[in-house]
Amino acid sequence: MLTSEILETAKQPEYVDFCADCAGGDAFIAAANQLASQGLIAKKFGKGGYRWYLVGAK
Amino acid sequence: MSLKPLQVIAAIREYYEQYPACAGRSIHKLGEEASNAYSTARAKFANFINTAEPEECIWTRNATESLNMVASSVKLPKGSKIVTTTLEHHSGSLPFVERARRDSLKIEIVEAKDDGTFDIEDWNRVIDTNTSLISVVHSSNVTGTIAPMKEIIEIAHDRGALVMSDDAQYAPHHPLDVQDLDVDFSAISVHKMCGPTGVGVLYGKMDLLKSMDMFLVGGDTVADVRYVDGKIVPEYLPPPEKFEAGLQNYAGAIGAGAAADYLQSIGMHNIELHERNLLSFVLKSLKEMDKVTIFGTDDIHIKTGLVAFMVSTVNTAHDVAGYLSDSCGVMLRSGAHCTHPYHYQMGIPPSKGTNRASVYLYNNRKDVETFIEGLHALVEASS
Repeated sequence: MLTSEILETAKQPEYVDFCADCAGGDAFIAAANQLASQGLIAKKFGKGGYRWYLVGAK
Repeated sequence: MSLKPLQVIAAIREYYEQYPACAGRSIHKLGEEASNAYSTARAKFANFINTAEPEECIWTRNATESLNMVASSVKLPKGSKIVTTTLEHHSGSLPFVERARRDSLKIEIVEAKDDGTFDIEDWNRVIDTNTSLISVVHSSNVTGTIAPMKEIIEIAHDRGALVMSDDAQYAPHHPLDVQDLDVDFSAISVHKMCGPTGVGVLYGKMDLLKSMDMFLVGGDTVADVRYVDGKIVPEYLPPPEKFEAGLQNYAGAIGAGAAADYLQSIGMHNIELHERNLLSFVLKSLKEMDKVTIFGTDDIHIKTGLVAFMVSTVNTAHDVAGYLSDSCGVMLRSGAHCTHPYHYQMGIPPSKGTNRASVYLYNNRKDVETFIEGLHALVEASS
């Protein structure tokens, strides 16, 4: 998913228990970077920005 | 946030290592040292912004608390009007929106122009004799534009209104003389001016501070608390103690004093000039990039050393910040910078946001070159 797609998805009602942040989405991205540091997800920069994926999937 | 010079770190370390005691209450040698350092720090900060007396500087946690303190505690006539702007940091607008809601006061918003500047005629039109207080950001943390503060204060005072200046972005970068400005209140965050986190300052004219209601009460705010006829009867101290309840952030205040000393040793005019030179270079370089849109005026004489921008090849500002941090160690702020109304005004959803590149006294031309080269690489990689 692109970063922008993650930010849009995080705002959906079904994720409200997991994702709480202001409309700017700073905390979502900080959380994503933490997950990447832990090797659980990865990111690759390309057209439009970063694309994030589960490790082991592409 | 800013980097911290060794002098500030040393001052804080010295407090914790040599005299980690309470100021103003402990009757022993370490307490005396802490008291001296704490009051000296207040005097240093008062000198930094040229208050009439040190007691006009109240230690707070940050500019947000300073703004909330005024919004909650300043006496405002019933039915009067508060004025604020679309350019405010949330901390400069929301406390006053809440005060207006709570006390059924009117609130009117002055819209900043797209470039972040203000038309003084809008202020002239909005501030009337029913206006009791204006909350305005002196230098925008998004566009960097500097408000025509002296003119606003003149209009406000002429019509009987108080002015609260959010100086969180202004004070670290420009000489600030609160007496010359004749501003009624000023909110400053020390972490933005080479000082520690968790400490800020509220400046207020003494007669106003004396007339304000309490904000936080408890230990250290009282001259006495008697128990009379079944009632608890407090007698409150004058400012600053009136507003400094409980154990204070002594290390933070001492660090704030050291930060004020440090900046003054370099000279605020020198810092301002250094930033303007770098800012010119940043603006020129960004303007040459056709995938980059700059926000805010490019008049460096009414601009603090920061530039907000967007890159059209990247969907969200957070990705620009992430790429530059990962690829070349350049750290920018991204998002809506706690100024959602301005972003909405500009048609930018907060989740898309803008990037903010800022320069300070410790940056140099090489830093700017690294940033620009990184941005070129980003545009190429994302196109």
